[in-house]
Amino acid sequence: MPEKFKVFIVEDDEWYLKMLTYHVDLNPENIAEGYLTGKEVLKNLHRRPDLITLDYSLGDSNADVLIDKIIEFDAEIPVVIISGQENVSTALELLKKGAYDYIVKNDDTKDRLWNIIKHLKENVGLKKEITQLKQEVTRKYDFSKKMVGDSPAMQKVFNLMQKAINSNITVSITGETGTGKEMVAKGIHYGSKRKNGPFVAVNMAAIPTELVESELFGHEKGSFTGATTKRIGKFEEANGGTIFLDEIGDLNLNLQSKILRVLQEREITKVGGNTSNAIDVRIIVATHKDLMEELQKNNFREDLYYRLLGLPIKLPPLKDRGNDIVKLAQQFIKDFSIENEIEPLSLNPDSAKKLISYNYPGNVRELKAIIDLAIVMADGNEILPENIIFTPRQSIATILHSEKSLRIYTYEIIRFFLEKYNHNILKVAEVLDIGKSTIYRLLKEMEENDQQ
Amino acid sequence: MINNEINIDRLIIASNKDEDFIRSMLNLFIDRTPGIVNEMKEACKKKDHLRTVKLAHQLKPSVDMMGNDRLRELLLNIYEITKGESNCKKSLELIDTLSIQTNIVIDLIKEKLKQQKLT
Repeated sequence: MPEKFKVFIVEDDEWYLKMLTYHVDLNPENIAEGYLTGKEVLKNLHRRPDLITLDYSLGDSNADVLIDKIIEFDAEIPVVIISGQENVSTALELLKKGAYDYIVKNDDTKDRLWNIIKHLKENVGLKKEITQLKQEVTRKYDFSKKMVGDSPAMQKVFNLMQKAINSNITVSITGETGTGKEMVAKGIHYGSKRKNGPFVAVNMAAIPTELVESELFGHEKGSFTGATTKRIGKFEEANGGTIFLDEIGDLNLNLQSKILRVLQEREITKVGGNTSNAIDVRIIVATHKDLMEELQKNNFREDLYYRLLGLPIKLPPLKDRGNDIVKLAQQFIKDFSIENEIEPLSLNPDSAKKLISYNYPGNVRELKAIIDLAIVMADGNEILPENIIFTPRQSIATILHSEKSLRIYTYEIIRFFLEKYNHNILKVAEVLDIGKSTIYRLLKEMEENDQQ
Repeated sequence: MINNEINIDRLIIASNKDEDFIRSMLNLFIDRTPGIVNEMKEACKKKDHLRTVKLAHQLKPSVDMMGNDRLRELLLNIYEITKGESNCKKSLELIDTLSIQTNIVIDLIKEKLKQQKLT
């Protein structure tokens, strides 16, 4: 049974108190409790009412004194003033103090109170929904559950993340594309004390240069052509929470100086504005670029570099995470089966081997795409090696990205073509213009290599 | 002028025609109103205008619901005159009249309560 909406009615006129209590109780979803004095209601605040109605002039205290005490106890409890007089200045004063509404005692009081309760119930419902969603998001980004990895490189990352969670230090995350930089930033935010504040992610590379300043700091109406309304920027949006500036290395020098000012002064000025607004924002930055190299090329300000460096977290490329690849694959299989409401498939040992042997230029993002496709392609309840399809890369730079030995490259070429021609050695020998004995020799070497 | 009529229609509407609740409200009026009127008188004698006004104000919602115009007018007059703090003697006279009119209204309510059905 849903909890009843608890209304405390404070009224020193016993007759009117009885009347109001009766009205509120007419709806079985409500439960009203009447109090004749302010003192009595203060004693019962710990029972957390959903609403308090206060008669403006009580015997032992006035509503303005009582409202201060209620707000001091819990500012979230809405207080409605019910007064015998229609006094606009008193009403305004009480609303300024934090009263939710002000109603006059007349024949409409009952209906107005019912409407207020109706609105508050809707608000309470929304607030509960928001709290539940926030808890869900916090669980979703709980890195201890969501981020998989036993490799020493990932253990180091987790250790640093925990340090970031326990402090308010600026964090700089580096790593190849697809290594999970935003996931790390979210894990830090949702694990930290700021988790109930907003997490605002901005990809600097995705915003046209001329709009970056307005996007980050907001603008005043008429500050430039097209600024038809006042708009708040991402920094202000993230107030009380965390701003994640992805691809910070792509920021031009002019904007770098403006970001530096925000970091130093902890305040922002809108484009076209004259006043500064203080902000309380944690900054997490990420880049796939080597900022030190950019600094040496004079593409990045030295003072900003050191300001942003804070706690550096370097994410290893997936190919360096060893068996974590299989663990991640299993996590993705689990996620996919939950999302699509299907039984989770198992990963065949040969499929696991195939996954480990690949170099993943697209890192974790690519692994996820490969697994999603493999699940779709699988016919039974197991993912077989042929279900794992690596996207051929056209660019030689991509192929040579990981800088392996010629021997390893040769093994990869043999594997690729064997797979392509369904392990038809004669065909592969013909395509690569080598003898089939060479292929057999290489396969033997590869097997020995795998065993090591 | 003696007004010997009451009209509890507003109370009936506000109570959703709940017979028991209407009776309990009428009984509450009978029990508490004379005491409050006496308290007003005492406060007025002590020239405690603030208290007198507050008590008049407190009586207003229940008096409104009894639908006795004379009682209502008296209360409003006391409220206005005492608020101005100018004429204590006049206030006291009006409170005395209010006391008499309250008793008349209470007698009318008692008569009403004898009815099998109020709504």
